[in-house]
Amino acid sequence: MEVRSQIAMTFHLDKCIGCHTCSIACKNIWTDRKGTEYMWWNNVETKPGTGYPTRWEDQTNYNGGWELQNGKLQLKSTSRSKIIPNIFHNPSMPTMDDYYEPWTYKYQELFDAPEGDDQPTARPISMVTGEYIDIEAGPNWDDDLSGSPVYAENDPNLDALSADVRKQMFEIQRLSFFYLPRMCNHCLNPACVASCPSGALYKRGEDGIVLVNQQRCRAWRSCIAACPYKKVYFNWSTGKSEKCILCYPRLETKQPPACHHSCVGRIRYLGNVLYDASRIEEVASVPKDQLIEAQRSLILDPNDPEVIKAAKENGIPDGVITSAQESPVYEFVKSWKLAVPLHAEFRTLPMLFYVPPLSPVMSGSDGEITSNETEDLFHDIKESRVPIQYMAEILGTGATAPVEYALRKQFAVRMYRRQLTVGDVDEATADRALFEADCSREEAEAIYRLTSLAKYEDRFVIPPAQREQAIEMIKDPLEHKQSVGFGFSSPPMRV
Amino acid sequence: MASAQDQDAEQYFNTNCKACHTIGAGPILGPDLKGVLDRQSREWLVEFIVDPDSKLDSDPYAQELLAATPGGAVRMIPIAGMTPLIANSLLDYIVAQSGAAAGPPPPVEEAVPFTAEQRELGLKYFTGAESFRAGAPSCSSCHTTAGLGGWGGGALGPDLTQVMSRLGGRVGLTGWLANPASLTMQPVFKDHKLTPGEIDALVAYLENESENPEDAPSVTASFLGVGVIVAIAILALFGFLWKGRYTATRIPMVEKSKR
Repeated sequence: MEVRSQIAMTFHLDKCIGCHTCSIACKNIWTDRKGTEYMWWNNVETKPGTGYPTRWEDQTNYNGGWELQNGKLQLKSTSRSKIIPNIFHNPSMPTMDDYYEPWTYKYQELFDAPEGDDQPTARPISMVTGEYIDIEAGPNWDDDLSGSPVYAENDPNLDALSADVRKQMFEIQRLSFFYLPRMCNHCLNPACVASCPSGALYKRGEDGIVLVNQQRCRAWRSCIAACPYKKVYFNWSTGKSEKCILCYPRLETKQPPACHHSCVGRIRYLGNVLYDASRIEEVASVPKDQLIEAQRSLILDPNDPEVIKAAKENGIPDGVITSAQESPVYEFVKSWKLAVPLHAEFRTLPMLFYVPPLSPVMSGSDGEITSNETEDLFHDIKESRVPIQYMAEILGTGATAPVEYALRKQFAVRMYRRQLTVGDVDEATADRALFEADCSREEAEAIYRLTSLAKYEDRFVIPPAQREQAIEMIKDPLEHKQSVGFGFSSPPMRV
Repeated sequence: MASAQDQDAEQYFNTNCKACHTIGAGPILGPDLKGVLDRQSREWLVEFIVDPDSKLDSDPYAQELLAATPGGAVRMIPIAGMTPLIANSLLDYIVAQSGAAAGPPPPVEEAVPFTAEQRELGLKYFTGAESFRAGAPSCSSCHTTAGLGGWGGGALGPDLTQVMSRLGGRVGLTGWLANPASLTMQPVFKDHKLTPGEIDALVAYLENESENPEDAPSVTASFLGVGVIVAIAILALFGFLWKGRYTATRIPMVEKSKR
């Protein structure tokens, strides 16, 4: 057992309102520089939809992530036989159009326009060429547009659904959608790191944040093809790859990342977990349907004395272990099994987990009147408007069980709270729902508290950064002792 | 000391001058140099040897000499690394040789006709089918003739179809081939001299070629055309081999929805 600490996240999709505040907070801090105009380290997608870049989940073109070849893990994009013929041109990369051509508006025209019969307009101009452009697509072009003929219908996750189910999904009275905020998953088995020929990408030892060394990056762009989530971006101005740094300067000062901090729906939870690094390869190589459970088993119980002992032996400071014990992510992922990784079948072991969202009850149209098909608002989750199978494609590696389990438990918690606060659900029904969802009353109460009442300190449990100790590994802190201080620029001396 | 200098000058003269000039054996491409100092001042001659071009362009006497060359257009080639010091010792050598009773005999008899074998061998030498003994590169590396056609030889050097008349017949061409004196050819052939047999064969071939009335056809246009066709063919091959490669996602998606 080799215990390490990893900063992990949980996004509670049932609470996401799709306001894009996270994306804007990130954009304003990190990607409003030249060369980064098109980058959205954090973005929010509407599902069903094709996302950003377009159809990023479809790896037949983008070749992201890992695949099993004769039981061995192999990058899809850059095996030895593929890297040589593609060394000067990697064909598996999104084009600018697949992201979008970034644009701004010529606002000055609002002021300079000559007097006329029409209102002046600010025409859009490309931020790449500076020319006038007709905007054809953007990073959230299909926002709130479930059922749209181009974008929603081309969602790669729909491929697994039968034609009937697909048709039903897009009937006007049954339309439904949910939001999927995405950012770098800071994976345990990152494909981007494995693919880099220059060794520029690395996973920070103390907290597992995946970073690009801007000095070592040589613009091979293998990481961009290798990342199945398409969350490494190429800065065309500096010629270096860039990605989410999980706001580590903020984390090191005990502040949550900007996207987490600004989240209006308070859907984001962050905390460190302890995991067994010696089992990463083994876990990433298990059959597809066992991936989610295997990944859960990689995360260790921070209260287990043996884990604590092994953690201390591996040099993990006490403060980091304590914060792992209070981590909200551990509760969501391990204790309650409410949160599941996004597309675990890419085998990168992502450390960002999603709580699947509940969706409204099915409705049908009877002549001109559209009404719910059931009187019971607390319907069976199988009657949800978003088919479980669709959700399973995104969050369950195609299997419905993990998603169904999480939805059933959330549903039971709602019944339980309804019984307590409103009283229109009788106790026996609530208890039965809890029982069916494998949930005790205490657990339901805890889920309710962390979901609905969680304060800032409950949502963000940031381990101490220990930068003082970390810096000792590369620099002697006493190097300048007795040599600098008063009179630094021109030392006082006798003349 | 003096004799060593004379030896150097003789060697220098043989390498750089002999292709076009004799001392007392009559003019080849350039004038016979016997008694040259009687005709012009040493100062003028030194200036001319160091920088023939400026004299040929401006000086009336030099232009008179130019008019007297075969075809009236054989300009003296500037010799690489020529200095007034070398020019002076060359002139000394010419003066010494002018005093000699008789010059060397004319090198080649015009009258003897070449055989068909010699012409064929010459063609082989020209195209490189037969290697020169001393390892010199074949003529067609840089030159072509009407017989070979535009695609047959190189285009770096001039077309050699009419070289016979340009360089003053057999005598001139034989002398040139023994010691090519141009800036480009001299360094290439300095250490890889052609043998008299090889020279005769080449002269035989080029004499035969000179009977062609026109130069080799210009191939620039067809070369460009063939280049474009080959480039398109290669691109088409690449397009076929990698036809399944990734190009775009969103645009085909949108196009499909419009259908």
